[in-house]
Amino acid sequence: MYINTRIRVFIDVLKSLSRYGRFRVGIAIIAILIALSLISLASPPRYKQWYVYPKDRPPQLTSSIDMILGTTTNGRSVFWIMVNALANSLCIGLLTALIGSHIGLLIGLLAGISRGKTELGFILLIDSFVVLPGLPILIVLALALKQSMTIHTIPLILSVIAWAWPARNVRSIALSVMSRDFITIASFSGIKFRSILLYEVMPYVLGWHLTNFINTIIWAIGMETALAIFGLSILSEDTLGTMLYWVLNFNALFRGLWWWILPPIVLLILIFIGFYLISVSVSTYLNPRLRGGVA
Amino acid sequence: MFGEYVISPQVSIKAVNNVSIELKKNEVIGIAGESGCGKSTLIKILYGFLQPPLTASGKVLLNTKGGLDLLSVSEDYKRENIWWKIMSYIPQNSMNVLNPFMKIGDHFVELLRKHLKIEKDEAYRVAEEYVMSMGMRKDVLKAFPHQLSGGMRQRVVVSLALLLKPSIIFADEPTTAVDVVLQKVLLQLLTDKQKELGATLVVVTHDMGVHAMITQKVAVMYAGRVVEEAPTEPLFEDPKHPYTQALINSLPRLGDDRPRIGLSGSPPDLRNPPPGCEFHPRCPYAMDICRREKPLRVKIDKDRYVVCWLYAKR
Amino acid sequence: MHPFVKHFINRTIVLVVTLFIAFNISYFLLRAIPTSAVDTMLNAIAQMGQRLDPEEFMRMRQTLLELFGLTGSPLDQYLSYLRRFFTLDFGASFIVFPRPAREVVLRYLPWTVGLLLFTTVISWSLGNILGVTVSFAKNRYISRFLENLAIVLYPIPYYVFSLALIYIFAFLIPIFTLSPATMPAIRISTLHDLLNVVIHLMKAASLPAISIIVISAFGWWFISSRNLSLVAMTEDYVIYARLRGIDVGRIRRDYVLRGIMVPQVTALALALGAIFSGALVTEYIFAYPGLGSLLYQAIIIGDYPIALTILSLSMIGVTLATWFLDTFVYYLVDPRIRYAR
Repeated sequence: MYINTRIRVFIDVLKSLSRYGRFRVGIAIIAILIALSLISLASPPRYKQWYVYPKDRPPQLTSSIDMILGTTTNGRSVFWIMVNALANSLCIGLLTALIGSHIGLLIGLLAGISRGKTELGFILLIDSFVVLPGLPILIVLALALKQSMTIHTIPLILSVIAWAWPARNVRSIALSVMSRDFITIASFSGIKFRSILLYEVMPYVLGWHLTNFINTIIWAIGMETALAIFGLSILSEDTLGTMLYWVLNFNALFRGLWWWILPPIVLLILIFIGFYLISVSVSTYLNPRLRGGVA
Repeated sequence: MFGEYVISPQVSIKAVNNVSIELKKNEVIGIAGESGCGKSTLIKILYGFLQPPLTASGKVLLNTKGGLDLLSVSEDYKRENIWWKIMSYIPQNSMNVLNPFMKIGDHFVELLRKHLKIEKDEAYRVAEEYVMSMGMRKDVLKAFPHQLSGGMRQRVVVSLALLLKPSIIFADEPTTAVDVVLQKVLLQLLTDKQKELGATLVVVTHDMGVHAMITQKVAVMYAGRVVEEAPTEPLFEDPKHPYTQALINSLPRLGDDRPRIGLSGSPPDLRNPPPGCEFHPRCPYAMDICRREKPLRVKIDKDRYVVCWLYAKR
Repeated sequence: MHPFVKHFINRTIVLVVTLFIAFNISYFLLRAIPTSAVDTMLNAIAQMGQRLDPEEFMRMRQTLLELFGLTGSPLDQYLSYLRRFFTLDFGASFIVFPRPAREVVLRYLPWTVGLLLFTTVISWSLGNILGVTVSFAKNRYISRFLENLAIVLYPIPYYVFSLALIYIFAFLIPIFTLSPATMPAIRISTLHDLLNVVIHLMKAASLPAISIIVISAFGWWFISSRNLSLVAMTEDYVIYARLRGIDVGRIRRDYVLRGIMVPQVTALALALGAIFSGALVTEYIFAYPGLGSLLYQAIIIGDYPIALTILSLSMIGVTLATWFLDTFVYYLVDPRIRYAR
């Protein structure tokens, strides 16, 4: 019964979200990207080896799918690299968001309900992590842990930083919800604190948790790319970041190998825009004051 | 006139519906009704202040400007020639409407310079004199709003409204959220100055006590319509419309210890108003016709109108 | 107590605590690194260091062991790291051995700070003015266009945008040369020298500056100032000003823009805090001679002294910048802090 109403609420929310043009565009972009990344399951095993294809070939439509986007300087098929890189980058983003934004949710809630010295401690900790420069910290960490990095441990490293923004956001939402009248009434009427938190505060926080989750995906994919450009990602695997690393490393930019340069740039931009459009629609939905309308 | 909040192409709220009201010189008019009955919207339209999603149709004619229709002139024109010069406005929540980043003095200087086209120093001197004539010390001008007490800020807002000697003053719930003592002082200040200027004062409030105290004429609104319009004294002595009766009966009276009978139910949803008379679901005298047809405006006496089937000659 | 004194003391306490937390984060992160990593690092240095003499190798080894806490008692380690963190003294750099890492970093620093200070201030002002103007604009097409442009630009990091820019300018409209900038010796004796330095700087900085300004002015600042103004326009004091018939231009400037300054200045403080590390990747991509390019060289050979100096510098920089802006600029912007009630 309870679950049923929850599902109905969820469907209603989706319905009203889909009224935003931005939401539909975002979902469409992400759906296309996910479909592209699924193609990676069909990639031939030899795509990982170097020099199995001719070097530096521009795209050819006539021959097999391997050559559809041309080849790289180290003789690999750009198309297969691209779909695998996309899959791996999305995977890194998703894993980081799963870990980081949930740690953020937990810490944010704890900070929101604690009082006095504990609260002060939480605020200082969260604020320090928000203010402190993420990239240099991650660079030092990645520099030391370079040897033991895999697609699955990078999200762990990224999560060291990733939790802070969500935590700050969740805390402020929790605080503003708890200061509202209905919570005061609920607590005066003797409802247990735990159930207030679960049934009254959480629904509000969860909406924002969704935008935090999406924003963490964007952030993580961006950070992995930044680390990779510095050569601090798993260079033996393909991610959109390592793809850019090799592009820069082989000077493809100056040699005019546009078919190698454009795919990672375009895909990254699409990922960022797609996810961001979704996150913007959700936060506009949650915060109607921003819906605007020109006065 | 009509006023409508267009929320989306499908949904709109008719907050003011077929209202016609006349403001005379040197008169205090009250507009009464529960919250959400369209009183604030009505005076926003009368003031010509239409901000999306509010739209209005009909006419607001201004005699001092030779019958100019406020709803058909541009906002720029109203800003230059009407607002604050001819009509001024005391908004709701007037304790917190001053710009927190501007000194009180600048609020006055800004208006004086705009409308009197004078230099800053001169404007400041004029403001000093004016503030003292309103019974405040001139240091007030040097303060930021947060440095003054709530009552002082309201006094400043009232003074601002009277600054350019307007002929019509609109006051939207001027004394809600004020203690009774301050309420009396502020209302006294307002009515004194209104008499001095010979201006019209339009007071919107749900507080029937305020209406009894200062107005000469009251219009009672329900669900976007004026249901009764009458000079204040007869209205309080002998309310005609069942809704007015309920409003006045809920007032405590000295020496009367019968329990107060409140009105049950709540105002209708204006997105989807009930058919016939909007008041019929709550009306103790509701008849068949009330559920089917809109009542007509009936003249009862001189200057007295009521919109109710009980008084229609059939 | 005067509210400003109170404000100052509060901010300073926060500054000290944040610095302390920053230090601990950096300390414990290094301690969390498995010690086996140090051997790998040493191997890497030994491998490429054919030209290193044994004595130099031992010195590097010593630095690494000390930095990763493999010598001395825990308390000694903590205290020595504390001293290193706040004096930025992480020993000799590996890339320009035996020059101290601090000296090397400080030589690159002005380039980075100059670029980011310039671009941050420009894009903050541009974005704010644009955001407020657009929220008042009558022409819906222009504001819709800018809004959608901002939403597209907002999530893109500088460096991805820089790559797109490089692609556009190198292949499609070749007006900028993409030769890596070298650091000119800043020794200015004649007007000619000065001119040379300026021209050189313009050449090296134009593309990174454009990519930062476009993204942050039209993306970040535009969106935040537009959102804040939309909220501010529903504030009672703005509606009251409109009722009074105050001119639109004045409302825009003295009411809305003034009102969003308080939150926007805080945001600027955060952004300015990032002037030491905000565009490391962009700098490297454009071969701009700032900390980004230095960091890349350091990463290749595992030069921890340099990496740690940059890390501490950016941590201390952020906290000091935030403290400064929060304390003094806030004071100027918000009369509620400036004057007692």
